[in-house]
Amino acid sequence: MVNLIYSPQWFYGKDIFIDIISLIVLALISFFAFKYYKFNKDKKKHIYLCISFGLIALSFLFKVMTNFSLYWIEKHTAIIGSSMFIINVLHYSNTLFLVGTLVYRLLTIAGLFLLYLMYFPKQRKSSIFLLGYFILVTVYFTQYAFYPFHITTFLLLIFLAWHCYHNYRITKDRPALLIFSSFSIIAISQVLAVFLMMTKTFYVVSEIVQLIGYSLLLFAFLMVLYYGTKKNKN
Amino acid sequence: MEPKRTRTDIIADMLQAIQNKRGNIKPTHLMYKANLSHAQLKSYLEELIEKELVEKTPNSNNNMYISITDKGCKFVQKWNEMKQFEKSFGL
Repeated sequence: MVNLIYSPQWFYGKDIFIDIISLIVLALISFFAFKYYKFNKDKKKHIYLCISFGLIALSFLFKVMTNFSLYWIEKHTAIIGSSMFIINVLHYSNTLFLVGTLVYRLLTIAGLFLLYLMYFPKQRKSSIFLLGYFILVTVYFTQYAFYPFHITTFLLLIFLAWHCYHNYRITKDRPALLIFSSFSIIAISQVLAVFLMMTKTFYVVSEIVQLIGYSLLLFAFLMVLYYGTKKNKN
Repeated sequence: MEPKRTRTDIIADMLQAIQNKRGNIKPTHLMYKANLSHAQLKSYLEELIEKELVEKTPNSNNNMYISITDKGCKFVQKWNEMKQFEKSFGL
C-alpha cells in the first residue's frame, strides 16, 4: 500500500482538494473555448483548445477518483484489519491504482500534446506520428516508474510556456503574461514531482506549486473575461 | 501579412463600424469603413438584415441609414470577448 500512495498521510484529502480546483479551472476554460467555437466555427483552434483542456480536466477527474478510493481503502483497511480481507483489498487497490494512474497520465499527456500541436502546427505528419508513438511508449513505461511522466509533461509545458511568452511579447497583453506565468509554474510543479523518489515532502510541495499555477490560470482567465467586457463599454 | 478575413470577420467589422458611428451609418461610409466593394456590401447587408443584426432606417432628409439592432450589439459584445480570449491564449 505504501508504494501506491505518494502523499504523506497528513496530506490525504488536501491533494484531492487541489486537484478538484485544477479540474474546475480547466473545465471552465474548456467550456468557454467550446462556447466561442459555437459562436464562430471558422476558427478550429477554439475546438482544439476545448478538447485539450477538456482532456486534462478529465485526467484530473481520474486522479481524484483514484486517490479518493485509495485513501478510503487504506483508512478502512487499517480499521477492519482481517488478513484475508487485507489481501483482497490490496489486490483491488493495486489494480485501481494501475488503471487510474495510467488513464490519468494518458489523458494529461494527450491533452498537452494536442495543445503543443495546436501552438506549433508546422509539423510534418511523420514527426507527429513519431512524437505520438514516443508519448505512448512513455505512458506505458510510467507503470514501472513515475518520473518519465513528469519529465514529459514538464517538457511539453515548457514548450507551451515558451509559446505563451512569445505571444505576450507580441501582444503586450496582461492576461497573456499571466497565462505564460501559470504554464511556467505548472511546469515547475512537474519538476518537483520528479524528486518524490527522495522524500514524500516533494509531493506536497509539487501539489502546492500546482495550486499556485492553476489559481494564476484562473485569475488570468477571469481577467480575459473582464478585459473582453471592458472593451464593450469603451 | 494579415490572413484573409472570414465571412464572420467581415460581419463583425461591419457591425463594429456601425457601433463606432453611434449605431447609425450611411451605406457608403459603411462600405469604406468595412473595406468592402459595392457588390459585397449589398450581399452582406441582405444577410445582416435577414438575421436582424441591422435595419434600414430613413432620416428626416429621407436619406437611408443603417442602424445596429440589440441583437447586433450583443453579437459585437460576444465577438470582443472572443477576440480577447484569442489574444490572451495566443490562438
